[in-house]
Amino acid sequence: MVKIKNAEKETASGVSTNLKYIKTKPWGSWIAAAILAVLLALLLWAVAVNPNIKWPKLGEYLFDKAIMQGFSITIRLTILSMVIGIVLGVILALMKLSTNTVLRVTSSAYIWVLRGTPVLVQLIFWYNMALIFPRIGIGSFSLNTNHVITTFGAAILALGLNEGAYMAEIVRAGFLSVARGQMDAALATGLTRRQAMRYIIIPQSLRVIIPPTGNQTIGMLKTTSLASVIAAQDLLTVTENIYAKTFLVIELLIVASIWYLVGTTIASIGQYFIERKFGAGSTTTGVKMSDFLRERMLSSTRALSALSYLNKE
Amino acid sequence: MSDKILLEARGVEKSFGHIKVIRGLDLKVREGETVCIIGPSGGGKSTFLRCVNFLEKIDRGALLFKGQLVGYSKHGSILRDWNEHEAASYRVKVGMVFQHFNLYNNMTAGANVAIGPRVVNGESQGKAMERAKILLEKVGLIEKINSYPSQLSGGQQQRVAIARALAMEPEIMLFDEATSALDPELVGEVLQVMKDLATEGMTMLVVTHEIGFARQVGDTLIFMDQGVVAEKGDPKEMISNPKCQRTKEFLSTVL
Repeated sequence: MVKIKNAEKETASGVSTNLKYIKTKPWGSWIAAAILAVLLALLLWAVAVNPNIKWPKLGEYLFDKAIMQGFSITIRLTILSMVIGIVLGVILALMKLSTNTVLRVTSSAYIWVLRGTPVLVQLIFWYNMALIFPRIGIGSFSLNTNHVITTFGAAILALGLNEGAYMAEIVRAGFLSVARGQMDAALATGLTRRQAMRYIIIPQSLRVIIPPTGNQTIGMLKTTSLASVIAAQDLLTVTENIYAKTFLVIELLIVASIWYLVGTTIASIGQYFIERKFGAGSTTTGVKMSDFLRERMLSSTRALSALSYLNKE
Repeated sequence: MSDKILLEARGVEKSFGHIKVIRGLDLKVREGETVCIIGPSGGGKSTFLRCVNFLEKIDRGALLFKGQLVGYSKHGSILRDWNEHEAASYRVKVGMVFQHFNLYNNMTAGANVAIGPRVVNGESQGKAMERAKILLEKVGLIEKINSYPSQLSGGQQQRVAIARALAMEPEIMLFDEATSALDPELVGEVLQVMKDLATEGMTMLVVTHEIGFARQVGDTLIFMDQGVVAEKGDPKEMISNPKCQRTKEFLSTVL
């Protein structure tokens, strides 16, 4: 609490100023914070001393070999699906912006179907592809579908092809965000459309494309857990396998959650640095603690200044 | 100025949907000549420049550059549409400066100027940058070679844009209201660069609202209204003594 006492002064007009400045106190915030802190402590206590959660087991399984392998499959699924999704997204976006009607309609239809059906359903479709096409190939050369599309393959195809539909919209929005005049100027200089895209349009659209792509990657890391329904041996699959045998359901779900959180945290940090490199201006940064403290301190200085000017002639 | 005609429009028409923007335009630009086009907004001036640079295709009539049809290539007795590469190599010969500059935002001033020679003509990075330095020197912005467009004033951006167009060594320069988006105090520096170019003998087609520039620098003045050339003549004579009623009315509003 800062009080600024002001000695009694006589102004020229004869009005005495004996003013005291008392800072506005954010009572509401303090009460809310206190209530929340108590609730949080109660929750933590209830979980920590709960006899139904065997904490030592959690430590035992945290770095379990099977869990580690599952986490590694999850990471690989995420990276491969995103690579497929991004490449496909760029192709679909270019098709959708093309002057060729067939390409445009094909792209729109693809996005309509893949975005309009649940990814879980698509996952099971790919897993059961052998029911429609027992063998795939060209002419006399063909292979058993189940050998080509393994569970891992089905997961990648389903997640990657689905992601392509979402990335297409993100990439298209990025291309459209570049001012029309940039293309005009490039063409007027004698560049072809392809050269203009490569040197002018795509580099400028990255600023808009990268932040949502980071979000998609973080989302994908979690979405890969759906692949557990086809037993793709990802983190959630192995977690389920272990607790099916040991009945340590909650302990293993906590273990899995910790690793998912590690993955998404690393991805978020990576996203921060990539966005900074490309000068992304589209992310909103929260109010920093230092800003908040500076604002609190400034209020006294401001009041002092106001007082001194009030007393001036 | 020679008597050789560099650019000719014969009965050019252009519509956007149901709106006819240009309705039968005839015009000739001789080598080394500075032709200024004035007229009210919506009169088809900018659209015509975009047609000359083949950013838009004309619906009727013919555009001729050095006696050759713009937009078509002749193969014996067969006429074909230009492909992308033919269009691009035509645009190299026709420099264009836009009202809103349109500098590439992801590149420095130097790179803006160098990108054309580098990508289109396959010049080395070093050689293209040398060229950029000479041209930025010419427009008085050599010290801004490493600045991005967002760090430059409007007038500076437009001068870089002129340097960028000149880098392709065009045979004609098109100016589409090059000073209309500028703060009044920045207009002069851009007009000076344009004046220097005209003095050097560059062929120029200038759409402008700067009547002073048209009078002082222009060899021919064209008043364009409702998609046609309403009046054409010597700039000084036309400005002081317009014959067409609409030219009179227009000049009285801008002078």
